[in-house]
Amino acid sequence: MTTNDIKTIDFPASSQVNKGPEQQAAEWAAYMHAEDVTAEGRERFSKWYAVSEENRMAYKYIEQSWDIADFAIVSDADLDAELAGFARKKRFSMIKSLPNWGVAALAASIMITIGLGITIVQNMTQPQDQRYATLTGEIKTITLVDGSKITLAGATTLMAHFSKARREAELVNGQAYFDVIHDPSRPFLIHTGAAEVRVLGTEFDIQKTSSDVRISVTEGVVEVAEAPNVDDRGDIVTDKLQLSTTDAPVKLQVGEQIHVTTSGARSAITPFKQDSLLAWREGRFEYNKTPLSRVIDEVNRYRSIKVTLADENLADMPVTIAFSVHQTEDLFEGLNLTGLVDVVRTPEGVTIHSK
Amino acid sequence: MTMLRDTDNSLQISCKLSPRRNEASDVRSDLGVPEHVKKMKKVTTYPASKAAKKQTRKQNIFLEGLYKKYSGSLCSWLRSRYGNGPPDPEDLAQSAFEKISHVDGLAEMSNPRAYLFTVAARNALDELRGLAVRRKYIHQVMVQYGDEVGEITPERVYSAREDIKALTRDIKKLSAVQREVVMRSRLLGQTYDEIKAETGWSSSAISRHLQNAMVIFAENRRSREKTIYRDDQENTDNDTGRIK
Repeated sequence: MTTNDIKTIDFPASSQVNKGPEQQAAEWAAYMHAEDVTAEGRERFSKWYAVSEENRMAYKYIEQSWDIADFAIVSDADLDAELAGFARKKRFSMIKSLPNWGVAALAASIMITIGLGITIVQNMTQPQDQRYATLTGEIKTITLVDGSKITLAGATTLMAHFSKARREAELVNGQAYFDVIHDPSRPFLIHTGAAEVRVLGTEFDIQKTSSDVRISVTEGVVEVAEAPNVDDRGDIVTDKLQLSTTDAPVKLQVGEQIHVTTSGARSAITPFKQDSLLAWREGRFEYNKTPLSRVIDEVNRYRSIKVTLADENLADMPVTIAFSVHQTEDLFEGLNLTGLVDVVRTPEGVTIHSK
Repeated sequence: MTMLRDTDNSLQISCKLSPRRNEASDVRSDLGVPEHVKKMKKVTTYPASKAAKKQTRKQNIFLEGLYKKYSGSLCSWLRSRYGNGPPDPEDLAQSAFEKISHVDGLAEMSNPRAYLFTVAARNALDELRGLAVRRKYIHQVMVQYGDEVGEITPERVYSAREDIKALTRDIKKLSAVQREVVMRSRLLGQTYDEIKAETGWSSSAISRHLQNAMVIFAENRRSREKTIYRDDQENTDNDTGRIK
């Protein structure tokens, strides 16, 4: 932006007679730090700064806190997580702006064809996303504006977007149990990984791991479809769009479970044991022939010292075990007892090797 | 931004892949000491005292640990906030490690990860927005009147620990909108126009939120300083009272 542009925000007026030095200092700081500063703006700032000791004192306090504000935000896990939400909002609002499954692909391809940028979409939609997150080891139940309740497992991030016409959420990572209030006029749509989950009102669990998304229904009916293919930058990849329009959504009934891999492939529908699957909400893990990689993925959301698998071939090793979220060390004891693996502790974490 | 990859490419942080345990161990066996740490040793040609040597060694070990532990997550952190570049997140991470390798007192810091990430974020913003020029200008004006703000250094961060804690509380107490504007401006380096484009808020509203947040920070900081001063006074009075 050049000096000739007409701007809505100009540098603070030179005559700020009715304002105290604190307010004046804040106006200047906000201008100097967040605007495209002009040469004239700089000049005026330096003049204002020179005017009085009061001005200088007031500005110094602001500058000192502003200087360490980034450090404060990055030091704090909650604030840093919140920041990540703002940084990735761009991508989310893109996904969210798609009208519905059927025409989503079409709309997206039209958008790409006529070259509309993300910015325009954002200006039209004016996102009002609400972000919910839990820390490692934290389990929290939130109530959305429609009364739906969502229980977030440890280290889980969820974005919710509600409007008059639609209810939408994105499970960014982790695991959550959804108890969705019935509203036929406003379907509840959840984007996660390569899956899109659509419900009217029901209860179900979604677990997102690095390799797949698992959806397990405990009440009502849930539709699962493949999400439009989205790359790292949030752009929709056109060549895969065909798939999502031709693949009809799968309907899951109570007690049924499905896995959707990161590439969008859907597994067969399998039954699952409700009590075991939902035990995490009571602070317990119950696994019955669960692949070790999945167990570790879940356990790591409750541990500050992370567990990793040293050997790829251990990933599918079936594990049957039960322990408390507060005693994840029990897992290692159990694993040691099998005699099939070695649990190695290093300062950086815990590694599991095959024998 | 390739200062750490002069002779070979072995030090490149692999950002493309998710960091895996076995990759980390490859880095360890290939390199032993990271290149920038080796460099530091070369630079120290003065006949250093035993204590100083011990200090350097401690710092090197610490840096090495920091590098192993955070190089992967720093890359993905930078990527998620500032995109795929340019500047390449990998280069940004490298130069952040390079930068902090020259500062003393790293091992004594309470939160070296946050320091590393903050330095990297500032690098990113300097590269992306040329914010360094702007900051330099403000500081120049202030220095003319003997008011020093300066760069964040471990020493400053260390001594500002209570400040940072208090500021963190202040930030958490802001309204969600104020906090978002602060984060977008301070950490993502966005201008009013950019914030407007992403949130739909008007420029004047954004400016107002930013100003209000700044006033809150400044006022709380000022009152904290006063409290500390008053506490000191009271303590002194009590002491003299007891002596009498």
